Amino acid sequence: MKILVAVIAFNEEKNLPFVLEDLQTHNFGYDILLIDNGSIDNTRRVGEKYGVKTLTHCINSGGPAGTVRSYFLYAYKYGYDIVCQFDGDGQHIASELPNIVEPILKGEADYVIGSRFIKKEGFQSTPIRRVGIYLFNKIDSYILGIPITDITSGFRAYGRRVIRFFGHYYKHEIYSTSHLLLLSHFAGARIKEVPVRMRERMYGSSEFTPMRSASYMIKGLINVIGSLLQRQQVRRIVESYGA
Amino acid sequence: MGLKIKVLAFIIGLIFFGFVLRSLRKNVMRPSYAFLWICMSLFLLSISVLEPLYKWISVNIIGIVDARHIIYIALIGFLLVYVFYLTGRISQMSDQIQILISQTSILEQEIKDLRKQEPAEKKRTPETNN
Repeated sequence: MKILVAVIAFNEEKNLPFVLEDLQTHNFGYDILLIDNGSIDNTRRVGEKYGVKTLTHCINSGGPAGTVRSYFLYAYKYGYDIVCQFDGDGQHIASELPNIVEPILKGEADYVIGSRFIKKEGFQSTPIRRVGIYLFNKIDSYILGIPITDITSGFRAYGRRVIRFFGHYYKHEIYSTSHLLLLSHFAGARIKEVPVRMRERMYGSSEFTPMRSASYMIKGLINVIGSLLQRQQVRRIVESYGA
Repeated sequence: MGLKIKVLAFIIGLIFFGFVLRSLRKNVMRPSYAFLWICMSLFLLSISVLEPLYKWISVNIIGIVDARHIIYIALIGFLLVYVFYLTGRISQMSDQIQILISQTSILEQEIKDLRKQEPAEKKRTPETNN
């Protein structure tokens, strides 16, 4: 099985060496792809220094959601069976990758979320963000019919069903992790959450300031409504090619 | 409605109409976008000519006593429709831009890969000729 680990980064020249070394040390046969979302620092050069294939966005494509599109397109084009998203800020741990890949390899799931709140080990996010995460966990759990504990986790793995849908058929913007999850569910993907450990970023600060987090929550609620309204459209797309 | 406002609406409508046609001729505006603006300028031009008709519609059909209000309502309505239309277009374009950014980054990487292969192939070519 071809596995791709997509490292998404925006101005992460300080954290990236550690992240790429970690991934190369624990490589169990995956390809590493760095997606530089229009950084103005040396993020791209760090990737080249470590011999990693790098997709460089000529401009910032608007938050992590823009990078999601790139790795789906890339994975679909090059026939990958599994794609893992891995943050370039150093929060994700490479030795935890087998945990999110395994359910897809076993054929149990098409979309795996690495949750830091199941075993509650490692970094647990800031209290303000946890409030937002809790709210969206509840909403998405209700819609999906399965418990979700870490909806905003960027540590995720997708199988072929999800790669094909977003890499070729769905041509619209992916607004948030919740939007991505709900659309995947409507497209027939089996969702699973597994426990993982995370750590706090080493250098720099998160782009999610308290103000941005609040705006993210409001937009997130509208996104959930938008996702629900898109249910029929997604099902029609899936029916057109047969999942 | 006073003569002054009729003349003013007619002049503004005429300038507007000319401006939209000029934009179309110079390819500054796409015909699909220009359509609503042409409607707008025709409406302004028609105010002076079709004033009795608008008065009749506003009083007998809509129930507005002052006929001038129908002009404001029509203009606000037009602007709301147009802003809604433009918001939709901006959203579509955001989708397209995002896909283009991703596609160009993939193509750039492919070009880099090809350039890396080129020197190796150039070295190989003389050997194969021999």
